Amino acid sequence: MRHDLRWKSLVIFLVVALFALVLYKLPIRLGLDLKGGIELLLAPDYRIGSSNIYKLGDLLSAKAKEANIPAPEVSPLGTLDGDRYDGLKFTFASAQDAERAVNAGVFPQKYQLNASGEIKNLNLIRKVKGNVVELTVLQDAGDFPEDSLERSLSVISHRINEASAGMAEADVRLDGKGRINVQLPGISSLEEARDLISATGRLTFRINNQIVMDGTDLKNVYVSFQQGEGYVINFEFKGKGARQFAKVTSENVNKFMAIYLDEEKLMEPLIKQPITGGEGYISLGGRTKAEAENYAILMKSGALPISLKVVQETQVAPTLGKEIVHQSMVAGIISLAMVVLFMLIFYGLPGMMADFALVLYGIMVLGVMALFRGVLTLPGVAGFILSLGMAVDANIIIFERIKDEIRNGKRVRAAIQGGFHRAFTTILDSNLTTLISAFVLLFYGTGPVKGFAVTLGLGVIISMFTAIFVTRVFIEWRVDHDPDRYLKHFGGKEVEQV
Amino acid sequence: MNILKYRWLFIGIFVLTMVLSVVFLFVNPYNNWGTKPGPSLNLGIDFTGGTKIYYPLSRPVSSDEVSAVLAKIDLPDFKYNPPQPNEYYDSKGEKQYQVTVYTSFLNDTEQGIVIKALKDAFGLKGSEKEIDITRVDPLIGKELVQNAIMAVALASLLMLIYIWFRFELASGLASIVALIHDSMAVVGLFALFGQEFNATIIGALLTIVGYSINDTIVVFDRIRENMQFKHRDMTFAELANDSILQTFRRSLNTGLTTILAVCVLFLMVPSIQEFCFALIVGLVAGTYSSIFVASPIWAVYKDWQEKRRKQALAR
Repeated sequence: MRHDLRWKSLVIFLVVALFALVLYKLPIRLGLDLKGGIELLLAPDYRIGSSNIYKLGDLLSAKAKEANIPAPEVSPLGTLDGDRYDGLKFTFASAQDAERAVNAGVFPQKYQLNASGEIKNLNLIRKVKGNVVELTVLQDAGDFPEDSLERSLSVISHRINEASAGMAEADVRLDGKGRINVQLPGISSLEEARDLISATGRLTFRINNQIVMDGTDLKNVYVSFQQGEGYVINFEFKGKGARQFAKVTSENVNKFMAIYLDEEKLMEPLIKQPITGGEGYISLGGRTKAEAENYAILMKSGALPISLKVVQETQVAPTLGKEIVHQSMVAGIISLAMVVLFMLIFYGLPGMMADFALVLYGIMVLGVMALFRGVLTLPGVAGFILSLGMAVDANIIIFERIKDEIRNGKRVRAAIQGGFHRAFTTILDSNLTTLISAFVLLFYGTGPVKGFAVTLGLGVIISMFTAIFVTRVFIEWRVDHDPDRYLKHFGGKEVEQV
Repeated sequence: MNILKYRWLFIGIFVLTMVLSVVFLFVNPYNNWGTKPGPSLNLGIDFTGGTKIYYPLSRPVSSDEVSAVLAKIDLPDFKYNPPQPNEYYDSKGEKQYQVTVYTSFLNDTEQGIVIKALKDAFGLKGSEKEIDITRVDPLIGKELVQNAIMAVALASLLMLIYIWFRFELASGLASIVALIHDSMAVVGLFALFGQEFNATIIGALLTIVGYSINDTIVVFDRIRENMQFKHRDMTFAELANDSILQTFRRSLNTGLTTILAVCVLFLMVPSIQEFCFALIVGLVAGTYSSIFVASPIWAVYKDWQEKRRKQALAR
């Protein structure tokens, strides 16, 4: 055997063994569409509560009265959702009245509502339909702290991790457009999901397993660096909380105080001295800044800082998912068998070598998916099956080239060399353009389509390795001892006929 | 064999396909040949926003029966399309019934009300977990359309630049025309058959773009190679013809294997039939266009350019 074939086969063997091992150890994660579960896209809910909506309605119709317009009939807009309405509906006696009210500035675009001490900046969007004015009422995003979404994310993932004994696959992340994406495999009703994500988290301080106070008066939590201590968490209580904290710490010096979010202990610092001014800090003993910040966020976000509403929901019944997995596995096996048979019939011996390479291709694509914890979605399965067809494309190009070379009178060894060499630029150029579209799909696609882009892109890259490198090693390994004996396998017969 | 002898015929077929696709986009059986108001494409809730509920049933029902239940629901701005009852056989070979209900976008409370109405009328088969729900806020739908257009435009631009760099501008432009041909063929057929157009179909379109460009490049690669041996009295049409013939077996074999693989998927997995339908149409169009659209356009353009150059020299 040729020297280079020996180490090349070794490389192939090692790579495939590695991926086979990965596949064996790390099962591929199935997407929600294959396994059942619920996926929610949560966006900040800027609608305001019903009592404030009614208050706003009264204030605005009083304004209409001031402008000498007969008071309209006021009703809320939309259905009560949680405690919120979409806005208000004003029904005037006539269309003229409605128009006069609009012209008199009864419905401004911005409005400041004094809601029992708290100022709410409201954006009002009006739609006039004859004698009816529909007013969509949304609170301005500027009223909420800038990091509301990050804090909500942290609370939600904390809650899910705590509640999920069998839900290791839950996934919560920001979607980059001001929303939170929550994936909950195995959960398949909105009520269950709601319990997980919207119940209020409660921060408590405990000494000897007795709750001594809670986090309602916690005003400020932030991370800073202190000489000799590393990163510390600074906190600040206000009002009643500050006094209570002073009392508790004075009575318990040199005891441990545990801090809980819901039923999970976040940390248990030692009370070194009484903290009387309401302000203190917790030293963490050399934790990183990121860890300290994570704790600070959890402490700060005992409750969700902003209400969230569902803007997109996908709920898949687990039985349906199982059905689809079964169907697509059968389809995958049949597709593979057909492609294998096709290559065998059309290209004979080299086709068989390409088929072996194709099987390795399948193992490697799935192995890489498992390794990078990629999620296999239904379109992903389709992408995989499509990529089987595309993977043999490179081999078809190569084999046709080899035939060309033999037709041009080359001996088999030279034809194989020339065929692979000349096919290479073709394969490179065509596959790179396909990769471009896979990448664009990856960045612009949503949900399942993204999964599809991943399999397609991986498929293109890996198929270049198997179709060019692996197939060549297989072929050379098979024919190298006496290449010209195999002339007819590479299209030699046709040459004789010509 | 001289395929490109008929290059004007192929260009004519291409123009006709494009015109028909555009016409079907606006006037088709789905909108009753333009007489029904509303969108002319059967857009899924991914685009329009709305709620889609697959409700499992223990007995077959009629669409009117379900409509009657929905009509009694008293919610502001509650709209629904005619419910679609259907039946299928599961993997155990048992017959299953369900009804698909499309409504306007519902918030959590409204969704609860609708599900309860269905539950009261038809009972619940199995547990609550058996219900499949998808809902999309109309705002998200708008974003999706913008994203899809951006993605297609960006992918085309990047590929054009790549081909310009590796081949020449004429090849790049001809490839992009072939891509437009393939996508329009899919969109046109979806319009004609009133098939639902949703986010996964956009994904299928992008895949087709990726596949078809691959196919076209193989032909242009051969053209690039043959350019080295082109003598002066050979036309670009002849050169393109040789290149097409040399790559013909490959185009056919690859097209066949890929289309067969997707056909299996189409037949075996009913839940992605629309997606696979789009893929099959696109793959056929892509294989066709790499031979009969991109190359004739390239050849006609190059020969025209050559003629002008010669005329300029003569003057």
